[in-house]
Amino acid sequence: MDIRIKNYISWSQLDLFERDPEEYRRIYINGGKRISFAPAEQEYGKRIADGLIEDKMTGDAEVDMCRVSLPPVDQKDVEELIMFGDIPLLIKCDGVINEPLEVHEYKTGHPDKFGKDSWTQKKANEWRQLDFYMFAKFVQTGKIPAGKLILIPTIKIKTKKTDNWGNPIYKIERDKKRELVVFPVTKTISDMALMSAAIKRAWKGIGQMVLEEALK
Amino acid sequence: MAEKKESSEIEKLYKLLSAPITDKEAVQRSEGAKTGKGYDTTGFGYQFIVNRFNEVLGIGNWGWEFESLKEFEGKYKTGTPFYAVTGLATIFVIVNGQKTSHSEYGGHQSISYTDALKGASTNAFKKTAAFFGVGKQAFEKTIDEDNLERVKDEVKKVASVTTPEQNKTKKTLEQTLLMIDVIATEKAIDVWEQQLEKTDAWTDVQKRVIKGRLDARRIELKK
Repeated sequence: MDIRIKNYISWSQLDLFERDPEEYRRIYINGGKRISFAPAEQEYGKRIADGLIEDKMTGDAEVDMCRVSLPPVDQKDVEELIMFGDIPLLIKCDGVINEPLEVHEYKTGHPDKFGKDSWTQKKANEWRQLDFYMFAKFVQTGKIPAGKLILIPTIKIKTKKTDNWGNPIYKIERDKKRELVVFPVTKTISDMALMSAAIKRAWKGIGQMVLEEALK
Repeated sequence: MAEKKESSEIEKLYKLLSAPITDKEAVQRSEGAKTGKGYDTTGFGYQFIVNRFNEVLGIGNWGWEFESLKEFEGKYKTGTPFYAVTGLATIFVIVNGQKTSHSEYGGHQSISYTDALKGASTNAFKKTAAFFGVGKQAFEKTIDEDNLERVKDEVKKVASVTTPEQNKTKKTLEQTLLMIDVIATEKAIDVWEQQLEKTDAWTDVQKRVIKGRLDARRIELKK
């Protein structure tokens, strides 16, 4: 019998298990705390994502501006449990179009000090979170969906406030001079096969790790 | 008598050719996650295989050639062009004045035509060389002790979950989980959760396993 703690695998689990299995053990199995510095960019991303769940104007200009400019989708903030054989996959996509099938993922980001965007077509193509969602939809429908990674360009503004160590506090705002950047992502059956192998490997590894810890 | 002598010379030669290449620099590794192939590879560098033929047979007593059989030009999904080359490598050796040869196929894909051709020829060459015993450890996956250690680790891991004491715990845990699978009401799950909080019979991780199963059962019941 499979002995597990999480009875599904999500992108964040897969990503952490592949990147740092010991950190996975610490957080997901032994219940350790996740160390997160929640930078302003992350907080802003969450504010936009939370605001977009509602299907009406929120009064938050930053959220509403995104709402009117984002490509329309059939379902927003889609949370689904999809069975891949015996493995339940948990997906949380920002948007899904049903016909033809398309998976959308929103990202916020400001250019670095050299003016280079945090997202490029190459990075979008290689972003495995989208692969994971596209794979789950492929398992569900038998069709490889198209993917779109949509960059909401932001700017980082230095405020007059400082933190406890005297470092300036930044705030993030939508860059009103720039349009959204849409990176279309296409995947092949080989990409699906690679993701399938990665999920199976991680699921097996996680099960083994939970068992090891549970029997200690 | 002469035949027996020849056969023992060939055996000796094979032993020399197929002896493990011990130079640590000779081992090349690639990670599937980085190459995109989905699997890890371990092999010997081309020059170390050439060295082995030169050292054992001597220059002039062996040689090789490569024939490109199929060349393909394509595009990755990013639009970057790539070249794929498939070909046949033939290695000949001269033993006791007689020429013996063997051929094998190989291939390679790269964004540069030169690299694709080079890769295909060395890939085919290494496979062919293994037929003479040179670098055969790469194909037997006995290339170095790292592999052995990995296998040992896997064995240890399996062994570590099968000690009698742990087997007993595993069985008890499994039975508990099976009981959870047949809980009929959410109210019963609440009671289980309360008892789980109070009990010292389980370790923290075991409690998390049981809690995970209770959560899953609650979702099933809600459905």
